Amino acid sequence: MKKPLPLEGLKIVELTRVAVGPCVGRILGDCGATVIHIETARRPDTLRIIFPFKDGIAGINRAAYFNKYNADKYGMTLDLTHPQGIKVMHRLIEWTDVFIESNAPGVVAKHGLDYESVKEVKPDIIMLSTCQMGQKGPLARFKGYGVQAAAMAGFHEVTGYPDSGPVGPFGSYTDVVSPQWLIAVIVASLIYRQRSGKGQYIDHSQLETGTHFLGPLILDYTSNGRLATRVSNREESAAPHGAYRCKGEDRWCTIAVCNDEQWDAFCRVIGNPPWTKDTSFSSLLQRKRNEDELDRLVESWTLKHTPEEVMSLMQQVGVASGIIATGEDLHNNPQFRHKGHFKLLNHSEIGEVPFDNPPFQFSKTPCEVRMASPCLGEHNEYICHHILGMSDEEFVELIQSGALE
Amino acid sequence: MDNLLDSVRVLDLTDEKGLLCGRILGDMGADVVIVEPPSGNSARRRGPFYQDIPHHERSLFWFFLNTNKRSITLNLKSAGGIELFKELVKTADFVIQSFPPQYMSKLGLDYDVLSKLNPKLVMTSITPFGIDGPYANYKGTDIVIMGLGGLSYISGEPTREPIRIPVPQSCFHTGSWAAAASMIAFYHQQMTGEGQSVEVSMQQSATWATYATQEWWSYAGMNLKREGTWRQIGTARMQILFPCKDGHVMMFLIGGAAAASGQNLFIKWMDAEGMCPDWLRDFDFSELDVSTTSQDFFDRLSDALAGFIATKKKGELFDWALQNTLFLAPVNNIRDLLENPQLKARNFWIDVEHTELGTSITYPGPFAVLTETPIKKQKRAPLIGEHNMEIYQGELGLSRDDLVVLKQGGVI
Repeated sequence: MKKPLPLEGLKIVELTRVAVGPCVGRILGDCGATVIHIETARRPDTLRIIFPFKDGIAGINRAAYFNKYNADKYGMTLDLTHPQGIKVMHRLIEWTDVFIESNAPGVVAKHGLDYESVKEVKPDIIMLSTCQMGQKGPLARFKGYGVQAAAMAGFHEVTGYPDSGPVGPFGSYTDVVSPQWLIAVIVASLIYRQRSGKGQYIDHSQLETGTHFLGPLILDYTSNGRLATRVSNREESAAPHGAYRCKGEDRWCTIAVCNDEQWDAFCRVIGNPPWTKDTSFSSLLQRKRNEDELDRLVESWTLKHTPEEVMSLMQQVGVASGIIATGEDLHNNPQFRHKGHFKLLNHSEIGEVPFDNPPFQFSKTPCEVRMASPCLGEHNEYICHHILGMSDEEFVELIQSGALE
Repeated sequence: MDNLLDSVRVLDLTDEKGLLCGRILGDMGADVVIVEPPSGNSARRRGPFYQDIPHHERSLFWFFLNTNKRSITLNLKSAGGIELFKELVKTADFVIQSFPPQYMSKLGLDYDVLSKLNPKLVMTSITPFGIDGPYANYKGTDIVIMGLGGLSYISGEPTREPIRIPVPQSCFHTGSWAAAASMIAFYHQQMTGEGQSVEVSMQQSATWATYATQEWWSYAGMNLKREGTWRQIGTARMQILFPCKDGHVMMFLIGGAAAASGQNLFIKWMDAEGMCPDWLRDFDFSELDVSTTSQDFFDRLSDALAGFIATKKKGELFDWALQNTLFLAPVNNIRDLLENPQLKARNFWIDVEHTELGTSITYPGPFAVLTETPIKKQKRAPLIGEHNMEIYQGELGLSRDDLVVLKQGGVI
């Protein structure tokens, strides 16, 4: 018997763009919810028009980032400025349990799709608005992406080398911080709705959730007045602790030695060279005091090994270590293979491409990514027929009206 | 007002890898009981510390991850501890744990055992790599996990070592993913009455912390590299981080109609202050196609922009950007963040009383604003075993004498 999915029966409509909103719907879809992703051909999602594209050929259905965040959804194009388009949208609102939107503040209101309005159509709807700064406030009008929000949240200032300016984590970092929290709060809201009969509106600021990922540094400032700055890979409680260059071109490993027992094991692995007996490295405190020198010596050993060798040798004796993975390494990673982290799915236009599975597994309701992301408007007919129950005539009329663009 | 998770009980057995999970559930109103060994949770030994005095009741790291929780001490390595834990499981909705794989089995507290006591239980296990597979018994600290997840390789300067964010992001990603996964399993439980076990992998969570490396490889056959303060845009690289008078700003230039207003006006601003080179003066960004622009153009543009930006403060650049729709943002430090007008206007920051320290400390506030069931206001993290009496006496009905015996027996 086919095992059930945990969110089977749940219905989601999203008017989302870029990463955060779509990622929320994606995971809910992986877990069994029926998710309808609404977009318009008139103003394609940014992630549909940026690199990388499959085989380097630009195309609206070929973009990797859009595909990543929109698997397990039905895709529909709808022109919300068209009177027929907005009618269809209202029917979807009536149908859905959850409505997710991630536009700039004020956009959905212009289409009469703000919470007050959708509540008229569906009184117990759960609606999430997520944007960079939140719906209200002096900076709500800020136009930007997660890459700017990450800089504003403080990630760049603290990420880099002590002797130079901020570098920051790659990419739109606040985009990858928020979805998890939003999935949790949406599902909790559904449970609450079941108990109370009440829906609700969730106003989410990606900047605000972002600050939580720097929480301890914020408390260090608000209680100790210390302004965090860049420390490269250093960690107060461990040495050696860092990223070390290995054999090969731009190949790196990490090593984290957290106590004396691990230090002894580390020294054994590297063959107990005389310098490891030097009093400058005899205790954690000594190693911290002489860390620049220590790192240089550690690297003189790692340079003779591939990152895979270092990882394997260190892990065998209980020292935390890993390769610093490239894109290719991720796909070849033995643990990911064992977990089936990447799953090949057949996409309607670009064929088989890998999709990430969720980072969790359930024992009784196993779920994984099942359906590749939709091409623009791929499921217009399916949604009109099977979800909204339109007749052929109605559907044809809708196409002719131009509302499905 | 109600909370989202009123009357939901969570038993939190995690260390730093998973503490955020229980905190998020607590933020949503669950009654989260952190079960600590009598010596205290290991995260209490992690800095920074209040007033830099290292002490298990002064860890700011611990404070941040344990608001809205209650604490009991319990020695799970003792028969009495196991017995009490099983009693607690009977009325719990969640057990969250982050011990090494098989550790709970060795204690006789794995899902098979606990689910017999409470079939509705959702048990969430957080491990570095998963409970099985070739890496299952490997050690994973934050730097190791972030490296294996793919974000580190592309973060940093091209000629220097890959870097990480100096707060254990892998723990926070995993903790928040664990909260999401736990809620999904709980939804199923609420619908069907069936509990289950949930497994969350730090390595997989860390891979969700980037959209780039796996995609560049599988779509374009290319390993993305570190680019420092520049970013690959199409065929060339563009500078995105610029030093200014009092710090740095981030600017992303785009082409096409959307770019015209803000970027063209910015050039005019530069020109008005006599800082626009001749070649740039009449440039129209709406005609720029960033995917085919030459490196030489971006290099010359960078020189011109950098010279001008260096004469301005991040606040004045950002104000201008807001008024003129330019993709520019300040690189905030933590002080800037605390003074950010948006966060202030939304009353984001909250002061949490720490009576024992005779002070209150400002914390990041609710992660979302809800109309019916607001995220719960933070209450300071519990002291070690602060709620032993409340729970063992008040709920399990043990007597004071029992507690004295358990304390002396090293059970609580």
